[in-house]
Amino acid sequence: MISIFRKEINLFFSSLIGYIVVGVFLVVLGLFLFVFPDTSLLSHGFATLDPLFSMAPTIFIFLVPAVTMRTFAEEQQNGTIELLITRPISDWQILAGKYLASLALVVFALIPTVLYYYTVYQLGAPQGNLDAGGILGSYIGLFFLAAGFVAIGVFASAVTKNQIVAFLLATALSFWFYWGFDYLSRLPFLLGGGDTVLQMSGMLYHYESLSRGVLDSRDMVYFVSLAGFFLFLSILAMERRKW
Amino acid sequence: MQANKKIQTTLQAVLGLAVVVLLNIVANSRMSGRPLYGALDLTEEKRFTLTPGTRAMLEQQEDVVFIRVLLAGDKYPAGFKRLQEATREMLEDFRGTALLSTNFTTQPGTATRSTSGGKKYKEDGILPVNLRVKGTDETSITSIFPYAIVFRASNRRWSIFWKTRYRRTQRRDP
Repeated sequence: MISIFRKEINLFFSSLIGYIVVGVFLVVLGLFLFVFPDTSLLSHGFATLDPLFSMAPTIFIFLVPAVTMRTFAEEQQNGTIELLITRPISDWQILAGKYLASLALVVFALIPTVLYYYTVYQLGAPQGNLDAGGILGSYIGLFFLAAGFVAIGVFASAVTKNQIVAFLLATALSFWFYWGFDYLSRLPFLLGGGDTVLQMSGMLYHYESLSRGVLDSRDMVYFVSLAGFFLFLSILAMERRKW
Repeated sequence: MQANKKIQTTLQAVLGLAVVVLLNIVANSRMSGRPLYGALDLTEEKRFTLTPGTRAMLEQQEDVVFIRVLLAGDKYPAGFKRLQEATREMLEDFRGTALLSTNFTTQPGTATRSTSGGKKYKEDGILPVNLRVKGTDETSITSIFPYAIVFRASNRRWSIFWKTRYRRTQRRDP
């Protein structure tokens, strides 16, 4: 598993993918947080990093599928998956290696955003007037969200040979799990009958709860079980090729 | 053979989904009044946790406090259902430290379709707020009373769930 993890990480950074993912994430976030006046932290009036945590999921919906689309689809397209499965490692180990490598890349993309925290910390009046604990909680929420998106992306990559299809499928599924349930719950005929359950089935509800800076076991169970479910589906998709 | 494999895979996927749903139901439930979930408040001011002062005050409480929450019923948008659930959970937590009796009642006037109950509340200074509800055919505006009324010994106090232009809390002796 560790060798697959290493191989995947090396692959990300020996090609342009890793640098492009981290670069695009930081440039887009930077533009929204420091340049565009409507969302700029500088014109926010008080020291906060809330716009970062409300914007990051939208970028993740497009960025995470770009990271994960090649995990299995490329191996299947090139035929190297056959070489991989003949190695004395289980499907779960292959999956865990690829999943953790993709998640690590997303975490790498998040690490430089600590600079945004430092900037707002320095610009606060008085200096340091920032809720560090709450921000740490929000980062943990973002990590759980990324873990869910990566699992969806890996599943999408496991069901197809085509990387474009994997990207589109992962984006659609991520969009559905983040916003879809919430939008669906607003249908008038669901008022008072199922709208709450639908909202609780979506990622947005649990991410908003974690973003407050409160680590609630219910939200963590949701994200872990969602990621576990999509990884389990990925295993089923991998086993399909043995038929 | 292949058809059997397909059925088996589908069943495994459905079973996996059932496990996930069950796990989340258990994670959200309570057993013998105690929650199976917990939360770690990382905010600096512990905004979402009872302060030691509040906890001490609740523990020292000798009289039974009765709280009537005007949020029962199903015909609310999801936001109100969440408020209802959050209020219920918070009061359950309070009950662990204080002598507390709670009661969720329907909005005045909604259960009986009469407005006399609503009038009584208005006379007491409990003013409704307007809520826009989008139905299947039309959008309607309905007046609701998002309040909790607290009774303790001979005192009664009421509090609205969010800030309005009206006074947030008022006191009135019966």
